[in-house]
Amino acid sequence: MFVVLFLDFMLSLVFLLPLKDERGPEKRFPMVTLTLIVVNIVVHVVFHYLAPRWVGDKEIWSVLRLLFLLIPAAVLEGFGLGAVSMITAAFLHANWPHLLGNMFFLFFFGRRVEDLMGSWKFALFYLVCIFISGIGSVLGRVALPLTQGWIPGLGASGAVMGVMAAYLFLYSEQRIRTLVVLVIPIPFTVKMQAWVFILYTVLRDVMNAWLEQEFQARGYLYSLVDSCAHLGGLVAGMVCTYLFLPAEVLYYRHRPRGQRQRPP
Amino acid sequence: MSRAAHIADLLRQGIAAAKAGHRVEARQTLTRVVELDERNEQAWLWLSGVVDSPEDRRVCMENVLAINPDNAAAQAGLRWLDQQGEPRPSVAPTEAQVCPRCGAGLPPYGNTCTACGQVLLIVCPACGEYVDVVETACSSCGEPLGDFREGARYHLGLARAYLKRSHPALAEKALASAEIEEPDDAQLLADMAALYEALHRPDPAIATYERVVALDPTDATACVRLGVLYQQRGLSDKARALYKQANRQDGKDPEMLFALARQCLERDPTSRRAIDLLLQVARLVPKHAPTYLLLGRAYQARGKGKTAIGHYQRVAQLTTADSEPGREARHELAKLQPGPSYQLNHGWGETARRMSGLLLPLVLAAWTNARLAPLEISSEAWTALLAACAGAFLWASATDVPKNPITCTLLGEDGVKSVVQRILLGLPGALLWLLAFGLILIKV
Repeated sequence: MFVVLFLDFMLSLVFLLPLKDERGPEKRFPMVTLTLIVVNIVVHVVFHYLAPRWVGDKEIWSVLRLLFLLIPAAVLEGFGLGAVSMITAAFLHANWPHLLGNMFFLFFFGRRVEDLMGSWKFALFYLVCIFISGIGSVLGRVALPLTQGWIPGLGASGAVMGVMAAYLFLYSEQRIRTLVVLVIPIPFTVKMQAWVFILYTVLRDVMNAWLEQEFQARGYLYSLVDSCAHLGGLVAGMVCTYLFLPAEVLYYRHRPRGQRQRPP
Repeated sequence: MSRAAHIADLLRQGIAAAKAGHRVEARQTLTRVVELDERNEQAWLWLSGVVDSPEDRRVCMENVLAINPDNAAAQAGLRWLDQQGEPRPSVAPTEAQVCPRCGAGLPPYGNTCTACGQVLLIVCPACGEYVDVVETACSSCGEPLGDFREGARYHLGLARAYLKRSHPALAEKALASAEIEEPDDAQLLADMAALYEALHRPDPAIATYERVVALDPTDATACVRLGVLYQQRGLSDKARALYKQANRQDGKDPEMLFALARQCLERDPTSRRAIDLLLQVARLVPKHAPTYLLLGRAYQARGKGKTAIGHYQRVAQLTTADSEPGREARHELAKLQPGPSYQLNHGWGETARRMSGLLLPLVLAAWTNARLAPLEISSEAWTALLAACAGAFLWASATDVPKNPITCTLLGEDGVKSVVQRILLGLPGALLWLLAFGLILIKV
């Protein structure tokens, strides 16, 4: 456990921010990606600033807003909005850094995936990632011994992980210019392949989930990051991409390298 | 065997023996025939050719006239006997010793009148037996042969019959006989020229078409066919002039349009005029594969690969893989679009994949609302899922897989083709899906 804890600590000192990949400009305007970003921002503003004023009473609002968050135990007990709460929670964020971080990653990876899938299919794919990451969150957090799934969850990170996984499925060897900030805050950029970037994220989530389990077994909380949602989103992205891609794309992927030819 | 069939069989044998020169055998057989059927005109006529004495010959011919007073051969034969007063040497009878067309005396041997060239014996197209030209039907098999007095038309009919039964040599002979008649009917000549083409004899075909065009310059089909033959000979200018002449007469003849388009493409592979002409042909004859093949080539030459692929795919649908246009289209498709097969794009697997993507959010939502226990999904939710399934199929058929097996079965091989069809399917499908999704979300 301490080894894993140390590794997790070391990885947490590394901050990776994707800046640019090697693909050219998109063929189509990323309408759905930008719409999702705008909706997330609007919902964040409404939820945190406007809705409390509309409701008026802070206590009532603090109870009311729970309806829109994902409480795994409530889902399993049949309370609340059920599947709707999964969708609403995916559009809510704790604070501005949480929101902006997720939106940045959504924009960077989502526009490429949408370019290939098409707008409507990308929207459906995003919805599937929301549900599967939500189900992953429910199953993972209910199993935690301390909280037992009663802590509400929110954020688009599960769905965004799904989008990142789709990017990995499609462009695993794309080299991404990445801003790296280590413990010494001197940022530098490096080109790394997409799978390296995403592997880093996956490793962190896996270690985080395991450590959360171990810490809660000992009666402590480890982190508020919903790693199970991230991993659920990852599974959604890798598996469900297949259902939304054009047949030609899948066909070309499975042909030996030497025979790949671009369609006119 | 019935009596009539037995008599017919004996008659056939007797005639064959007479033709082969076996006079004794022929006489015996034909005598047997007349014993069985004393009113058999043919038997008496053939017998007159194989008996030895002039008296017997006279008797035979008189018997023929007794049965059929209008029998020209018997009349001519008796006249000859009266004039000669001598027995006529026995010959393989050709219906008469005089030509049925010009009345000239016939030589002892040979199947053609030396005076007018009239064929005297023809081969039945059906059974291959020799039949006198005066017969309107084969005596052996009853195949209708026509009336030789129609001249060229008669021989043309025979030529068609021979060609139909894969006897090209006989067809050519029949056409040659038709030529002897010196027809001046443009339609008849056009038919003859078409038969020469079918026999792969371009020289007489060209000559005949030239006569047709000279007689009737407004015959668009003849102009086109002659143009095609000129084209094959490398006489492009003459061909073009004929196509234009045909175009003036009948601007909607698909063959003419196709030939003109092909010529335009030979001069300029990217010719826009050729593409327009070919699109006209495609509208007139929607299942003409060579049209789409040329369209594919033209668009490919213009750099419009996607459009070319569409046309090549049409050729592949209309032809088999071993036909020439089919081979070429498939070869080009493999080069331009080395991608998934038609089945992969529109088969059951692809349809299921497309529908799965649409159904997955609803299934997950229903599962979540059932507290992640599949058995607790309510019957209303199942109903909504079924409705969503239908909606997903309609939407997928309208958008991603318009030629899936079900739409092809219901709407024809082109599946969902028109915009109206897509709207009529897609809109209800989308509404059904949205309704089902809404019902599942509100935990109906």
